[in-house]
Amino acid sequence: MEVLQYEFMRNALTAGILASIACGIVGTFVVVKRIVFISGGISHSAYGGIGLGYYFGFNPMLGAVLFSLMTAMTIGLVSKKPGQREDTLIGVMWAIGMAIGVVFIQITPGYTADLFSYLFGSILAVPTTDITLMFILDILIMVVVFIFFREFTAICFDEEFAALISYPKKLYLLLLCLVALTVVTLIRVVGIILVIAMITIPAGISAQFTESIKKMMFMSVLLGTIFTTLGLVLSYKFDIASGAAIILVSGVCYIFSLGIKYVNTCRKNNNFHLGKG
Amino acid sequence: MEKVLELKNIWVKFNNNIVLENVNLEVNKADFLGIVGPNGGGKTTLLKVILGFIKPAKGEVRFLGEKREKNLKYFGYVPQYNNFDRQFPISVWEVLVTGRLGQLGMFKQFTHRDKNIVLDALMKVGMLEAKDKSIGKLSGGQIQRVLIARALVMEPKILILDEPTANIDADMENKIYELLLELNSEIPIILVSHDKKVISSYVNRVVHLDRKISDYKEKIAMPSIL
Repeated sequence: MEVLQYEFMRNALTAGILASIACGIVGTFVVVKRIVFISGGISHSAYGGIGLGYYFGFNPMLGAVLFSLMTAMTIGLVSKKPGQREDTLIGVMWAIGMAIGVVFIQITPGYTADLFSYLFGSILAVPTTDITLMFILDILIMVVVFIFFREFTAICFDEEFAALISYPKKLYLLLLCLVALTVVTLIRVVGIILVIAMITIPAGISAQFTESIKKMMFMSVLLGTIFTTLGLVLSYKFDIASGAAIILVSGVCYIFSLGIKYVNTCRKNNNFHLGKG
Repeated sequence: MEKVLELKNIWVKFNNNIVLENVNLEVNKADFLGIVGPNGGGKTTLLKVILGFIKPAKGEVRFLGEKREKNLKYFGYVPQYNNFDRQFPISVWEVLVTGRLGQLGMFKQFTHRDKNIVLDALMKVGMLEAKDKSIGKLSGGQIQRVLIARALVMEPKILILDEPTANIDADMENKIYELLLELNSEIPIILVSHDKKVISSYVNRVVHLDRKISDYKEKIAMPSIL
């Protein structure tokens, strides 16, 4: 436990928990609404904002906030127009954002040392300013979800029906903006490339074992915290990128959970055939 | 006879294909209207025009003499139940709560009265015992009844159903129609179905839709055949 004396270690643990809160709550909506691909597009496009931050000399994380929000709004507004193909649009935004990032980073003079950390995460090197930003985003996400929980549930369950009773278009945009903010909280922890996994894996595991959105959220936050902490330990011990370590831990658990689910289902079916169910 | 819903000269085109051609329709307070017609004849499209999900190229929909937009929360819509994600983690109770959102407003609390309305709707459709079950554990007929209950908690001024008895066994089908007949004593109902026989034994008016709307003549002839 003496490692906790180091500030970077405390920051890393805090970052893991803050990221898990955001991805547990928002990831649950992403998984049940089946918009995983949208979250992938939003996260990759954030790279453009990071490049912009490098080139113009402001905090790249703020650039990431800007770009991911812009992508979320564009996908939300344009994809529902008649004659638009949503997944094509997502693919385009995904690629354009990455390309902008690559160009701006290339024309930035000097050596861009921690570029790798934005792509693959570097939980051991999260600066305190980013912790503050993550904390603010977490509060924002929790407040918005607390206020609009029933509305979000309604549009995720049946968007058409929700059109009769509320403002689904605006709420859907708001939900996508929450996804964008969640992406930002995750960038330092797992990196842009792997954000999509952190949003989906904890919620994906929880979805198999619970039938309530609220429980799914709590379970996902808990799982996220376990995964990031375990990943952090592995990353520190073996000096590997934290993103990869965290995702590997999560991925193994996901596969394991599929196995448990499968065995459970088989057992239930057996009981049913034997007349015990 | 009080006019509730009025469609005037509705035209709908998808990629230059005419799906609905100059549709005119009036629904009165006491109506139990059946819309029949072939698959691809525009039945679901017409419902979506009525509900405002599809904007017609031409024409107007009026509800209670006003523009429909203000009153969308009074459209008790019952979609086809088999379009739902059965894995969605939501209980029967929570589904019905979403039906109250239009009447609740954005920041208002779910009051005792709201609770009673939900309970009452569950009782009407006979799903009170299943209120805490998740929808993944329900049969098709049960989901259908939950969706009807969800429409009822809206305190609707019209009920609109899309193929409510598709893939449902005959016993449950009769129960659902009996329930609809009961509800019809208070509000008008529009029901879309490709099943002409069942429909014409319950509804009091049938129209035939195949791009254009026409009166359904067979209905008059049927009693003599039977």
